Amino acid sequence: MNVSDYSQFEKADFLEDAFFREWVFRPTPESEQFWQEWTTAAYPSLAAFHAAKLELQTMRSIVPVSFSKELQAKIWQRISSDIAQPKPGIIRLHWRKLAVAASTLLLISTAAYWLFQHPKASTTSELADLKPHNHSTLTLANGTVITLNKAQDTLNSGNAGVRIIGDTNLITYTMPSSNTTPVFNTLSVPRGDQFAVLLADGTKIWLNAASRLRYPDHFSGSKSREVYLENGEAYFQIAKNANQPFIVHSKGQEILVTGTAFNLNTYENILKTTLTEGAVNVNANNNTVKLHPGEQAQFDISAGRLTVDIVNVTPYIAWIDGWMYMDESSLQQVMEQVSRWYDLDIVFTDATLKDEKLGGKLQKQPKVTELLAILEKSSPVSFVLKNNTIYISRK
Amino acid sequence: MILEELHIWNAYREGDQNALATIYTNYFDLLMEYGIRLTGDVEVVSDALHDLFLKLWANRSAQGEVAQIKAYLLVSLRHIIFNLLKKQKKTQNHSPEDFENFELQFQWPDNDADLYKEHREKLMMALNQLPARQKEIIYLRYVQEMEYADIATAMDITLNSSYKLVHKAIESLKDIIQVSGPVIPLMLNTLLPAFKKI
Repeated sequence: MNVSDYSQFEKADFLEDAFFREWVFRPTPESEQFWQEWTTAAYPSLAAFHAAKLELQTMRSIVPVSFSKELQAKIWQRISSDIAQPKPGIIRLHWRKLAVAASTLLLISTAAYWLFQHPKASTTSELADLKPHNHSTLTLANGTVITLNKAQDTLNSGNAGVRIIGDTNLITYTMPSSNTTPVFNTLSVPRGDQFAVLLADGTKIWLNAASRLRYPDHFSGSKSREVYLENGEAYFQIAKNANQPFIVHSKGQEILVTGTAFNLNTYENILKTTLTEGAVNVNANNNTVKLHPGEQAQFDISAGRLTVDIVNVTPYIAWIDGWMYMDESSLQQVMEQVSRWYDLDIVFTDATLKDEKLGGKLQKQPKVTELLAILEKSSPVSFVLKNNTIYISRK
Repeated sequence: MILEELHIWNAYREGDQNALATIYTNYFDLLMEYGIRLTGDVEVVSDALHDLFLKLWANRSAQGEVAQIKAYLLVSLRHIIFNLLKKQKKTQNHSPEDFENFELQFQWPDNDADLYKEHREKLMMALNQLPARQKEIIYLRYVQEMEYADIATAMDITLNSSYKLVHKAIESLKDIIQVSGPVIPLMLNTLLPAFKKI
């Protein structure tokens, strides 16, 4: 430390000086000695020195706020009981304490076990009635619909320069070689399928079953990159580009992004935007919330209400790998997912079954009958499969 | 970050609930105080603390290294409180920088022997009249001794704005000392004995 450093200091310089602040806040014999000696020399900055010292001392002389000591233990009790609350194997979606319904069904996570133990344990039947699996389609700018049923040859977006390379469950857009105006393509994923698209800017979007996404074939020449999730659910991994923000439009909600990853679920009347990394602004009904990782924005379309919750993100993005997480999920919600996975309709022969609660996680099986067998083993329901419809009744 | 803190943070990331409890114990007073200064509402801050630590726990394995646990916790708490208030419709169409109040009162023990009594009183008056955001930034910068980068994150402003905001708060204090400028040389003479007493 050189004394001459301080001789020309102004008040603000002292305030910004870590050594000076450290002395005011926590003097040591060494720093005491240093400043005592320093003040004996009549530096021009002496007045600034005293002003800064006085200010720092005064800034620290704040009236304490009061709260009771018992509060600390009380809040921790809530935290630790909510941490401990999930029963072994039950995946918790939300911290809020849920009354464990008496009807909670057994866990369904050990799919393989059940399959090996009970290879034929199922009343499900009539496999022959299953229609062939539907394929995703790509609608080009000129209205042409292309079925994405195999590793494609190179396609054309409808725009001379833009090539689309098709692969199993993924299409990739390349940047045009020359300047062209972007045109819109639409990727439609039916029930029973899952598909991803790699856009020209490097953004990757995974589409869940029963989803539709509209997007330009490239993004050159526009202020922002805008896509439309018209239906369903998608996971977005946005390529960073601060100069060209990415906007996801969906049913009256906008998500403003610079570079980040998040899941958007629009299956139900409440849009759920779950952020896994980065930051996004969610805009709906003239309201904006900023999300941080681990937070979920919920936009209630009918009430026009936008709120934020803290969630464990894993269950919300598990679908990408073919998993379904249930935590006090209703049988209806579970069956709707099954319906989307396998492109089958569902009919409850006993309406009271809809509210049966399920916990655990369930992996998509190659055949719906395998999945239904697992569900039957662990819940009071039985399934009959007929005419591409699952009939659900009480055992 | 000191080594012990780093150790606790890593233990927490690996799933040690005792480490989480230690973090809670170490930072409870600070977080509670900050929250109450922001909202004046013990209930809201209690809920926010609860949410903060559950969020910490739920996302432990995804958690990276943090340069400063304290800054990280203050930042997170502020965001959670904001969203809680928003949910309760106590704030509408506001951004996180719009906390209306920041409860911060300055008070120096009234002591006639205080050489700078008059200056302090003026300073305190000026500090007490600062707008909420300037009070908050003074608190974060000079009471909690946070780095500008962390303050910027906490208050959802740019780094540059955080410098400017501190500067603005300091500027408004400058006048007070200048007014009493002539007194300063006098103070110097009386200062030396005061130092020696320490």
